Amino acid sequence: MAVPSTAPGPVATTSYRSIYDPVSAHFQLPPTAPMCPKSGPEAFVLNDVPAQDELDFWMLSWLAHNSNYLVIPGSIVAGTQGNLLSGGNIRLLEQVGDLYAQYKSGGITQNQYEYRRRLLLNQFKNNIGPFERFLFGSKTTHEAIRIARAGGVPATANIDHHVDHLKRLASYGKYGGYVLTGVGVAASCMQIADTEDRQKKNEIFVETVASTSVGLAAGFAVTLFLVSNPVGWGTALVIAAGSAAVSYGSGFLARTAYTTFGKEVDFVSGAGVDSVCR
Amino acid sequence: MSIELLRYPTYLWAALLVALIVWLVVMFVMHFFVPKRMLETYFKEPYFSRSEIAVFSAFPFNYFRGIMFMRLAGWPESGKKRGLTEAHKLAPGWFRVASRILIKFFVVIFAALLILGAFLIVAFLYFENFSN
Repeated sequence: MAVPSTAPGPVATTSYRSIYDPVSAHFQLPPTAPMCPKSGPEAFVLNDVPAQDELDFWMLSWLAHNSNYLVIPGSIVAGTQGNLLSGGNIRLLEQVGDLYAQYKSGGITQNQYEYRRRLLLNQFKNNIGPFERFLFGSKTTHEAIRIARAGGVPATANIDHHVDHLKRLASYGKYGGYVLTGVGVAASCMQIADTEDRQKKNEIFVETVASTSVGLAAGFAVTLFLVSNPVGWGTALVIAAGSAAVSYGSGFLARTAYTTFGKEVDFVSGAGVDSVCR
Repeated sequence: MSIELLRYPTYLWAALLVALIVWLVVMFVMHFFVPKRMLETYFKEPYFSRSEIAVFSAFPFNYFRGIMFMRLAGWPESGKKRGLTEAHKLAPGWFRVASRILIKFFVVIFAALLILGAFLIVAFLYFENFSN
């Protein structure tokens, strides 16, 4: 039984305006309007999201398409954050509160307090490197970790507030690498499941496999280099960006190579990806 | 000139990629065989900075850490700048041999993959944009 189509679907050969503008004099459905045109606009998020609403989902759509390139740099940020905010580093901040208590009870002089406070905060600042801006916004560590002068609150209220905040961030960062990897795999799986076209499924699959493998290999190559050549934060970030570029290039090449020479091979069915990503 | 010229170099690149994936699987297994004594003795200050220890303790970089110690086991002089020239003494003989083979294999495969990959990207872009 033929089901009458009530909503116009996007058609590749007709402009958007003539399809979606109900007052247009040219508006009419072609007799064989396909539900999912092969050459029509690509559904970036999900097939359930109409093409005209995709602008509202630009962030999600961008993430869905690029998540596999974000796994490595994102894991570095998350994992590093989790480890830099280890108990030892957070303890440095807590010691500032202890020092203040010592100063107030007359155990040390004001100059001794200020000197030791500066040393502790300098060490914290050195340990966290460029993450300082991320943790404290526009303030430096020395500006953020201060004794509360306002009345009605404990003197260490500021420090306690920041310590709690950092502990919370550390707990997120600890699992960030696993979460990002999971998101990367899930996003690619979602893209494969959401595509009807078998060739496109295979293109997404080979692109994901190639970019992930080469990205991991680039990570190994950088690590291999780091043993004999210790580098600073700046160089490390440049190398990380380079490895992301190599990963992206490999994904692009794998997809192009598959489209040009490998269309007859169905990796998705052969590897059982189809049965997992449904 | 036809794009068919790129068929066999592309197959070679795909074969290198498969070899690299196999190597990654082997390295995942090797992660569990990095001598614990080596890590406990040398994966700390002053041999590594605090930030390096932080980065290489979290997933997925904790898996990358293994290759550093494999290089130190296979080529002791590579740890000269960090003062790690004695680290190989804590690794068993089989680990040192396996490290040398796996790292040599990786360097050859990865370098070939990158060089051939760069050539193929340029060639595909040329055929896509300028060739009739």
